[in-house]
Amino acid sequence: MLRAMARSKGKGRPRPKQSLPEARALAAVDPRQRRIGLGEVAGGAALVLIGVIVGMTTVGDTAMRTRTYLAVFVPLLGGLAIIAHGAMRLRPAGGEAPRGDVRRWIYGGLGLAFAIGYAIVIVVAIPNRLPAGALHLWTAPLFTALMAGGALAGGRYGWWLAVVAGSALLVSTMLIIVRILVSAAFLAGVYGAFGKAAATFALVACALIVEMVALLPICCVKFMMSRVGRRAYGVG
Amino acid sequence: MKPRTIALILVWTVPSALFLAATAIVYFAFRIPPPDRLDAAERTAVIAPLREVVDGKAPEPCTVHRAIAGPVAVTVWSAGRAVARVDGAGADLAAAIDAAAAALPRQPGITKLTADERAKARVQVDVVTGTGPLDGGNWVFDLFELPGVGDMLAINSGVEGIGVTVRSETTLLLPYELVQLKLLAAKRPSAALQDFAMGVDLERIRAIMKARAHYAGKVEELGLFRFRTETG
Repeated sequence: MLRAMARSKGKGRPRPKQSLPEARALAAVDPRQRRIGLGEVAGGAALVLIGVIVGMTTVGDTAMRTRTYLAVFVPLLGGLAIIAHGAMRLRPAGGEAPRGDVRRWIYGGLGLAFAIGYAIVIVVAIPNRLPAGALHLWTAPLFTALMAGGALAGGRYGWWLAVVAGSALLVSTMLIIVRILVSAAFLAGVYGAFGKAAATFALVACALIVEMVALLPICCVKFMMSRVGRRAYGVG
Repeated sequence: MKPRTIALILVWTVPSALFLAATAIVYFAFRIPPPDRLDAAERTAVIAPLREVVDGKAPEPCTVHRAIAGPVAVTVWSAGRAVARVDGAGADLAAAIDAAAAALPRQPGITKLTADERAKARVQVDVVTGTGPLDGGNWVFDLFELPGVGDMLAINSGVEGIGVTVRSETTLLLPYELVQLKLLAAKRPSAALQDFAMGVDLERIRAIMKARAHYAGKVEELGLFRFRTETG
């Protein structure tokens, strides 16, 4: 009976190596599509890099302009969308039709709600006049909205868009935490005991950021990467 | 080990390691550890040769041989005003004090004092006990700091001074001098709160340092550092 249970969960069967089907799948991609896909991924990455570099050049600026937002976020968001498209070309369709899953709508809806919430908080509660801070803050609502858009759109492109945007949001969140920790460490180093009090509040801020910003993309990307999530989007 | 296991281990450890490393690098770069303070007898021995100079006598060599992190700054106060200020450098505290004691009699503020004023004058000695970077100097902090933290909260006001080394000679701006010259509450971070001022004026400090160090180059080239002193 135990053996039967194990078989029913697929534990008793020998598993093929992960890399073999992936290699076969890659080999099955039309060479032209593969070239285009690689080009799109590289081009998207270059656009993302341009957005990051333009954003970093604003570190010394003391005033924020609309054209700065556009110069940073158009290449950033466009680059992520193009990377997702290129990645979709590189991985052929699994041949399975998408299966309905309510979590797709849950993560999409939560993502949209969080994106709107972040935008309201940034505009109303914590406006930042320094571009280096404001640009980084705005990555949270914009990347969340992109992730939610992918989740709601469905299909293979939606899956890739949600995964790429969710991962970018996680990277951005990690960077925010690093910036807070570095500043807290500076205060603790320079100001001693007084600085340690300020550093404690910074750690509370980090905990809040993990709860309020990082949990959603972690859960969303985890769902997308699971077998059920792949089937829900027909990724296979 | 399966690739999935490796990926899982990395996901759970790399971010924490990154956070810990960044925190440790910045904390230890900017921290100035508290010094082993001089005891009462050592303080008396440090002041003694300088007191003798102010009283117009030939000073005895200092006997306190301890390691120091920079020069010593000697200020002579008369009637509430600093009338003389010399910095002494040396291999250890005794050598630095002897150098300062040798330079002190030549100060115009000392030669002008009457015998009565010399008796009433007070000697302040600031021994540099540790130094740290200022206005950059640590790439992790320079790259990732939150805007304004490095500018607004650059030094621990009243505790730390600012120094510069030009041609292997160190010039110090002592903590009390930063207060005296109104360099500490120089910036207004909020337009709505005009009474709220904080942050050191590094541009003015650089200009002062350039003049004190007799530096001919550009002020931007001056590499400033923070220091802490033991004052007696």
